[in-house]
Amino acid sequence: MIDSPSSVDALLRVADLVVEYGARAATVRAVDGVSFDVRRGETLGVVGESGCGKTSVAKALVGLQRATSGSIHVADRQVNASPPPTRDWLAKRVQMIFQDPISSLNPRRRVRDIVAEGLIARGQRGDDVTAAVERILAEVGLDPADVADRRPGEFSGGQCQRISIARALVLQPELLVCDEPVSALDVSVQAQIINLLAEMKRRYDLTLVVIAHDLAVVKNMSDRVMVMYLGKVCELGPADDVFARAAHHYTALLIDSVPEAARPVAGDSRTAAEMPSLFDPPSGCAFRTRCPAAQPVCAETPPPLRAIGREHAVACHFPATSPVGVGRRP
Amino acid sequence: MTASAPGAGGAAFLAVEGLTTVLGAAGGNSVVAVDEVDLRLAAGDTLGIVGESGSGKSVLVRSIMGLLPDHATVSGRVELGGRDLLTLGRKEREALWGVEIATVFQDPMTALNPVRRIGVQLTDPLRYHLGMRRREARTRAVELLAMVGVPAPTRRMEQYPHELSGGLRQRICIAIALSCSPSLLIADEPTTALDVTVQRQVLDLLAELQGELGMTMILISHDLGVVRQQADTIAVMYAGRIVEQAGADALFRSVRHPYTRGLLQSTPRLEDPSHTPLTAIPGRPIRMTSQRVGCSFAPRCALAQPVCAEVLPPLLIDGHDGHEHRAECHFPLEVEHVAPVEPVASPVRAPA
Repeated sequence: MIDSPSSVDALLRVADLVVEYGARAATVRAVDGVSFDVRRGETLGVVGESGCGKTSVAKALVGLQRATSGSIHVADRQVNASPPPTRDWLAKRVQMIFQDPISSLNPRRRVRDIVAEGLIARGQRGDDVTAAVERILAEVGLDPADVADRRPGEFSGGQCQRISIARALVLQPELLVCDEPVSALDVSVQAQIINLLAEMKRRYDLTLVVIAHDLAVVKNMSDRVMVMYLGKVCELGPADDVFARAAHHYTALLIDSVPEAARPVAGDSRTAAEMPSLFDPPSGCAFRTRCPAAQPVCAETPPPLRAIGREHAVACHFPATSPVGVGRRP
Repeated sequence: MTASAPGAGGAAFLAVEGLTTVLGAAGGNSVVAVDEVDLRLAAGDTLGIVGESGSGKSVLVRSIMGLLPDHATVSGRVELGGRDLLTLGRKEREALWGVEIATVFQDPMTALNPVRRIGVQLTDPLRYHLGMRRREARTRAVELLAMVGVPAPTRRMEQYPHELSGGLRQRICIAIALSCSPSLLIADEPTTALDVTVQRQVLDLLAELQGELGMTMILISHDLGVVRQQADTIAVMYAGRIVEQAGADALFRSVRHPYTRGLLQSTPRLEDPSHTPLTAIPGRPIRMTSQRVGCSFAPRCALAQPVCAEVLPPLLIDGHDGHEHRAECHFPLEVEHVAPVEPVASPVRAPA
């Protein structure tokens, strides 16, 4: 685990998190020893392709998936301890919004009830609840008088995502976990939701964990970025550094693969073979089967995450960019 | 509209004129899903069609193929290699599918039959359309799998779709589409369901095969970046109409339509620093209606004037790089506008 200034005022601390699915004979390790901190007020972006474990991390953070081992601390309290903190304690601190805004809202309930549910579960009643619901709906850009008594089916994907954000923020959490918050939305609507989350973050002093497969979305929203591959962290660092000076060959492959309107794609896609199966992960470094820089040692020893710059760490034996101080703590 | 559309170097291989598709039962609610679309595509070229959900891009290509439900009414002209497709009878049209025109769809899992082996799905078109015998078809199917870069092709013949990754499934869909050497390949969001590194592989594969086989291609995507990388000309659709159309480089160098610029400005870009503010397009894509009055984009447009809501916008045509640049707008953006473009208005916060 990398010691960094972020440890000082960390709202979220994750250490050696392991999430496994399945029974004894067919166990898949979706998250394999992941450690990171998120300090208060920061946005950490988690990026990677299908099967990299990013959603399993998100689910473990909010308690939707049991961690097989490792620890998750929120505000210095271990949330996967036994006994766990109460549901209410966690709900006040951590909330989540999901990828598909329409299916994550109960179609039979009115928007007012959907947003109020957390408050009611907490024991609040009456005018306080109504006022809080109407205030948060207005803040996410919806007109309470117009939307509160309608049901999710009457709204577009972008509007449903605003309702999801209202449902999460009405409880005034400290940490908001966003799993693919814009990937189901139309291009012209994505920017509205990205801007809204940035505004809500400022207004409520939120700490965000944003999980997405779209590199440009993650870069735009994040202060720091964590790149995952087959359940492990490849690279972790400030967003601008990671994208400007990708140290892990997987990060570089991801960046080169993005087709953008403004520039041609680089490199040769034929070097990029298929992702290995989680049931049978490669020995040593998980990325070695697709890595242009792989050496024999990569098949033998899993590379540890080590610092290569200020807050910038990489898990690679032969990083692509090696500023002064490779292998040593800055 | 008599002027030739972009990409019309010589004789067009595919020519679409005034294509209009109305969906809906007679007397009931009907929508104009495709509204007076003109396209010309030279043989061997790639046309990219960009639009959001509901913009009509999929209905447009289905109208070209004749692959629409019975309640659809199609008018206009579609000529492929000199043949008028809209006047063909059902039998003649079906004979084109898979042979002249082939399609690759978005979701390879639903495009493949889940309970039949890959080999059967690949040999079916070879035997049906080309009259190959079983053994001959199998040999050809293995060749096709190798051509699209599927490792261990002989073993894949015996597998079912669920045993394969999304990228491999899409390669198999491409192999099936190419099995009868179509002259026109329609790829409808072929990489949307795929991871970014796999997307790159599939797009490179399509470009490579297109070059080898001399196919003409229509590539549909919601992603401007995908289309930019692959297409010779790009058409931007909004509410059933092509609002802007130009050569790929010209479109991004000098954006004319406020909607196209809005799409570019609202998309985060990797080369921008983190937390770069995005200029969102307010509102959301409109539903297509049967009556079009004025510009469909006007309610969301920062540059809209009263006239935009009342009068159909004029079609502006000028050319550069041997391609025409067309835009339908009352107040088009300046001609030599170099991307990245400057925001014209502060982000308007409005319900999505």
